[in-house]
Amino acid sequence: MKRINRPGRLAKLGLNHAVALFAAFIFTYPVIWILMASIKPDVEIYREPLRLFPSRIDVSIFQRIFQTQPIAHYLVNSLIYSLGAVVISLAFALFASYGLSRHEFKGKQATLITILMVQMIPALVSIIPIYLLMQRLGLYDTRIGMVILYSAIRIPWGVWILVGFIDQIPKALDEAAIVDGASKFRILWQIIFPLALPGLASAAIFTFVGTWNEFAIASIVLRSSTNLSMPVGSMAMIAGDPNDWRMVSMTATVNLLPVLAVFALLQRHIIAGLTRGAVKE
Amino acid sequence: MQSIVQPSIQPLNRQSKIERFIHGPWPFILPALFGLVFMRAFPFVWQIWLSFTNMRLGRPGEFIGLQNYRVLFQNPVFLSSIAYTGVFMVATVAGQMFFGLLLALLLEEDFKGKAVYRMTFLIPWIVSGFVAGILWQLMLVETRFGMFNALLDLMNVPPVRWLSNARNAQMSVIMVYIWKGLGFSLLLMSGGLKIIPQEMIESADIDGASYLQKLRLIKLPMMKDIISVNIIFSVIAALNSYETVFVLTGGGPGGATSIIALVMFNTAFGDGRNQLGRGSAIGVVMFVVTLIFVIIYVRKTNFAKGYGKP
Repeated sequence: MKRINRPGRLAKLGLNHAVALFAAFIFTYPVIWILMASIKPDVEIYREPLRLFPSRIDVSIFQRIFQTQPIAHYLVNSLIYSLGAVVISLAFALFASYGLSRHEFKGKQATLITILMVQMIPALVSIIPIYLLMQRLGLYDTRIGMVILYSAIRIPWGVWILVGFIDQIPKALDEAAIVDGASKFRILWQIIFPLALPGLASAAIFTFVGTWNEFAIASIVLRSSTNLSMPVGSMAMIAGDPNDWRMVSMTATVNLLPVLAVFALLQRHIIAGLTRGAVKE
Repeated sequence: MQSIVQPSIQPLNRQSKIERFIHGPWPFILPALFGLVFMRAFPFVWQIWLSFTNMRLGRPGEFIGLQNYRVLFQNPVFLSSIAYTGVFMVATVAGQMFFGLLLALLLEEDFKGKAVYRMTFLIPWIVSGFVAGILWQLMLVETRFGMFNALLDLMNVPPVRWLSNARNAQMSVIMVYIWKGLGFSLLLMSGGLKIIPQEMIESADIDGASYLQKLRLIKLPMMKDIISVNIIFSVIAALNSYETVFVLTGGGPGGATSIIALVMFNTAFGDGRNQLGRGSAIGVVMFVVTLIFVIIYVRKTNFAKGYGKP
């Protein structure tokens, strides 16, 4: 870029920043607005839409929704669903990925293709049979059922992320352990598991956020307010009083904060997990 | 069947079939595969059967052949939903590709603060569909106290009915989905730009190629594969969109923004008649279209030769 003279370069730099700032504004403004709206005094939220920052912070709505609505329940449920799905789906996925990565056998390609295809077709398209299946298994509107379903849905993602990681662990390590007489379970536990931890971390974060945000399936499979997940329960709360914008904003904020926190802290892992799960590089 | 178990420890020819199975890969794979087949793959197949019945909630239903499909494809509500779904898919995918590429190219430039910018570009993608619906509902409030209308008000433009006018609602939904899905497209586009060999760009620089020439003659052709993969993923996501539009417009006004998943949910669970059989037929339509794109993807990435490296 030597040919570009100094003023030209400055203009280009300015343009880059201008475009980037504009895009950043469009992407984040609604999110920041709702975070702020949840702590604004009433007058400002209803009458001053262009004011972003509140003149004083009013968190009374936060106390109110936790006192009058089962939102704490929804939070706990969502934690159970998300963490349950993380632990169970990754345990299954780790075993499967080890089996797939460390063996050559007839049907390996077919198994991998099946897993990939199931992963790519959203569970949403078969929501009706899933609903019926949950009913027949006695899992409809139960917390354990929701955990099982979310785990099953997330297994293929986990396998895709982990197979790639385990492939990169040198086989010489397992072979040495086999010579020492270690069983495959010991190899998996003592060699593969610790070395696959970075992969497990991105799979875990990815699974957590995906499950935490899931709405459509939970809205069909759950019914009683003691079992509702955070988004579905929030929808019920908002439907009860859609014009209470402060309550709406605060509810959205409570949904949003955990995900934003996870994202801010662990952004790199999420992106790694996604690109690995989506396109193998 | 090959096994990696060392022959010196357990001679292969001495093993029974069961032993070989136990020492092979399947004990590791089967638990995951069972969950997958039972909870994910089986419903696809079962749904095909359900779509040939007139099942309703609490009533088993009988086999009625292709009746559900016949009724659906003669139903103007379903047909207009398909028409909007088509427009919605083309518009959101085109928007996501265009702006995703634009921002990926921007982030390729050399300037400070790129990491922070990238993070802000990804925020809508990490926000749940439910929250996105709520956010935009508040942004698009139709009195002059809505954010967008307040901005228009500053310019003396009268308030716009963003969500209660059919045309506007259709556009608003598309706009919100572009906003929401752009981050994913940006990530893939950035990945695609990174794998272009730097020497190619440098030699084009020496030949005095302009920015647009480099983009058109080198970058875009080199990114062909990743762009197709990107399009396939975005099309599948668009076709199966549900929650943001459900929260934002509920399919309204008057069904103007009823994308196909909303019609399926409504047919099966929403309208009080609970026609699970007919809803299944819609699900099968979605499944088949999705499957076509999945198959294109699997072939495109040459999946059979290794783990789907593109």
